[in-house]
Amino acid sequence: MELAEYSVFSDRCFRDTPPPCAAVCPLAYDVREFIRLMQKGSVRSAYKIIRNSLIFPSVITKICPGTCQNACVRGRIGDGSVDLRSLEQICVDKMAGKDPERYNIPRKQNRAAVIGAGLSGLACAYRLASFGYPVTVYERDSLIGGRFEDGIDRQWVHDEITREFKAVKCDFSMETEIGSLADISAEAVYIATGKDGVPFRDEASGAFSGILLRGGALTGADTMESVRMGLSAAEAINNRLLTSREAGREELEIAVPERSADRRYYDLSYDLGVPEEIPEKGAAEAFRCMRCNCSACYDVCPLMEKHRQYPKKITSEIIVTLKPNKSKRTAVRMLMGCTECGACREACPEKIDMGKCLQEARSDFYESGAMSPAFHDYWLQDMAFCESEEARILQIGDESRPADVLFFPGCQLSASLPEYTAAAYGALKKACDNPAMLLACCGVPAKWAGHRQEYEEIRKQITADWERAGRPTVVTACPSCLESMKTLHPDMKILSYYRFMEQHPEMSGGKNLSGSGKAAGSVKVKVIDPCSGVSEPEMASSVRKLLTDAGYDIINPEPEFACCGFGGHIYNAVPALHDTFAARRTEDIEDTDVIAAAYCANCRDILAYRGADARHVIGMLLGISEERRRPPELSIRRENRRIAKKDLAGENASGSEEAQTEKTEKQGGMTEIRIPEKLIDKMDRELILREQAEEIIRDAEASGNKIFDEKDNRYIAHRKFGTVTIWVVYTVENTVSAAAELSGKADPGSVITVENVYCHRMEIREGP
Amino acid sequence: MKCCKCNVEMVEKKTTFDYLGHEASYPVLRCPVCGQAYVPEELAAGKIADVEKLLEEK
Ligand code: SF4
Ligand code: SF4
Ligand code: SF4
Ligand SMILES: [Zn+2]
Repeated sequence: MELAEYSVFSDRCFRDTPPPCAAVCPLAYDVREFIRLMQKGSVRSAYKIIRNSLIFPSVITKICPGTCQNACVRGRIGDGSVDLRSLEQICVDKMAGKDPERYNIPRKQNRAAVIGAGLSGLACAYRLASFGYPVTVYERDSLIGGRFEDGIDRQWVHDEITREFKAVKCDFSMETEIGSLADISAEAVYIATGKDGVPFRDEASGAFSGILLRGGALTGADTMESVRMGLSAAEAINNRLLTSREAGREELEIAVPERSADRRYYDLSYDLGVPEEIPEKGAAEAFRCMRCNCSACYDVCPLMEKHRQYPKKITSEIIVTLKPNKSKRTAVRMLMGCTECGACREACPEKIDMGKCLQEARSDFYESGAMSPAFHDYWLQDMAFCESEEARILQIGDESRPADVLFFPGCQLSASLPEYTAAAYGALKKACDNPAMLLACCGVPAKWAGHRQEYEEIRKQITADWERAGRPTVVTACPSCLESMKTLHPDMKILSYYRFMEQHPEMSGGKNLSGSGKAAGSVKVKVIDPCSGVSEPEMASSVRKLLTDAGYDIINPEPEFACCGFGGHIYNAVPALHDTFAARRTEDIEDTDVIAAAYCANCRDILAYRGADARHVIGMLLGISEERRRPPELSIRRENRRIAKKDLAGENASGSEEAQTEKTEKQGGMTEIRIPEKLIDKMDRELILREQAEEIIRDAEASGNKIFDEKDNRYIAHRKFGTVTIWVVYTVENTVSAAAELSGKADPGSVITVENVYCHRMEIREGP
Repeated sequence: MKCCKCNVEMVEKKTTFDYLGHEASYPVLRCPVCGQAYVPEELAAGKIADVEKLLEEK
């Protein structure tokens, strides 16, 4: 993707745009920042914010009609608008009578003039002076500030504003009536002569040869809008004078924008809570302000929270990170940490899809060659295994005619709960005429790794098998497969297993066992909706319907899609973030009696690891689920897939015990290698397979290529597997024969106990 | 620490590690004859892991 296209993803994000109060305020100041400071009790700093926008805060807060209050979100919710003016007043009172700080700005050459010292002219003069222009204000009266209808003391206004002007250098020519613009010598003039004032329109154009603007009550604006126009005029003059222009008269218009609140702010969800105790210096009213802003995506995304970044910043960081030859790629962990759960998209009022954005970025990052292969190597190998002869198989009941249904269990179900695959297929067969089954991977690991081409290869392979089976309806037990295959194969009819089961009551055959032995009905179940199910709400409702029919008591009738941390295969790049996802998902069900009914095998495994009674819905529906079944260790997962294939091809009986026996047989006669369970847990976390440790030991024992640690009486050996170097520390017991002792090799029959296994990614330059 | 293949005591030597086209070096025990190295877990999980993280973001 072109780098610039990344920013398009977040274009519609309205975070940090003015909240309704500021949007309708003619002098729009940074309300969020103002309130933040007021909550902290930093009144002086808060004052600076309003002074910058309101120019003459003491006067403005008196005359402002409080337009913001009509727009305030809190007010619209019915809880009373936040009284911003009273907060402004606190600042004003605090600074009362104090002279302003002086601006130290280099003086500019071009001179400016303002006709009329009402608020509009004064605002313009003040702003221009603060930019450094020599300014002269002409006023026919003896007081500045103009006239007010509601009896505000003119002398007070005059004094307040005069004091404010101590901050800048500005000349006042009082009691001076300007008869013609020819009397003025300046490069720019702002005419703000007030309601029914002189517009200087009919003069010969030769009378003044500079920039000319009109505004304020002269052009029909109300008081607050007049102030705004004065400021806009100053900005327009400044911009014009900063660019080169030809001499001559030039009249500029001041645009008066439509001021309206962004409706989207009213639809966000807010926390109306106010702290029970207001911090000592904080202003109570400030705590009623919610500093309205959108954070809908951030609130549901552990990734954004971890990096403290919102979509706009994320897209700009992506662009920086993907630039060729970057030496610091700040967004790497962000690219690698997105689970593609889609939660941000679902939460966003604009449906901004940061998952898609980060996925594209990850693919581009991979293609640039800068991505560490270690991040996804494990799963790519796992996928390669699924796709290999050892595990992949298409089986069609009757090969001579097209299959009507193709069962696609997904690679994780057969790895984790091998007998479920067979049982699920068995049940499915009752509802079809010529069933087929494809044991394969849907390719999503390739997608998650950013390998677009490989993903495409797998898509083709699946399509070919589907064609071979006679284009049957595909039924999958894995929500990730469902999501990925639906997008990849638009011409396939694909259903979730649960949807299909709901449509075919003959499948469950009246079985409604809870598996735990408790009477169904008293068993509380929380359905764990996987993130990948969000685009398929019918699946979530089918699962609930089936479980209810089976007699379970569901405590969350509404789907709650969320990621368990497995999505995107983020684990190797950002393990801590993976754990945050997992912890959030397990929060309320760890160590309770509630059954976590997962219909994604990965959710089931991750929740079970973390101590929840997590069961796969298929097992619950078919009456074969067990209480608190531990997920199998990594190498058994692979073995289970081999068995699933043999099973299907009719070569073997099923069960993971089989895996064990087979392994022992393979080791045949060789020294026994013991790996304590605790260490297996660690290896699982580090994604090191038992076979790899065993292979290292066998090699070391055969070649003698190992280190002996005399102190602890143990051996150390290592080997590089793909992107990692794995180290094994082990002891050898019962070395019986003298020959064995001499050679230093373990005797067959001796026991090897593995004490530690660890790995690193950097490659050692070994050799003499 | 002894290299079992060469049956000699290992000695500390500055050793180069490669990752993602960058290199870093640490003193580790090496066999003076065949060059076999020993990377203890403290080093793998400590300094090496830290540098890996840095290089992954380069
Ligand atoms: S709650 Fe605060 S930020 Fe939100 S609209 Fe009201 S004043 Fe503005
Ligand atoms: S949900 Fe996120 S991306 Fe969407 S508008 Fe809000 S802050 Fe922006
Ligand atoms: S897809 Fe999920 S992990 Fe990725 S940015 Fe969105 S919410 Fe965060
Ligand atoms: Zn040696």
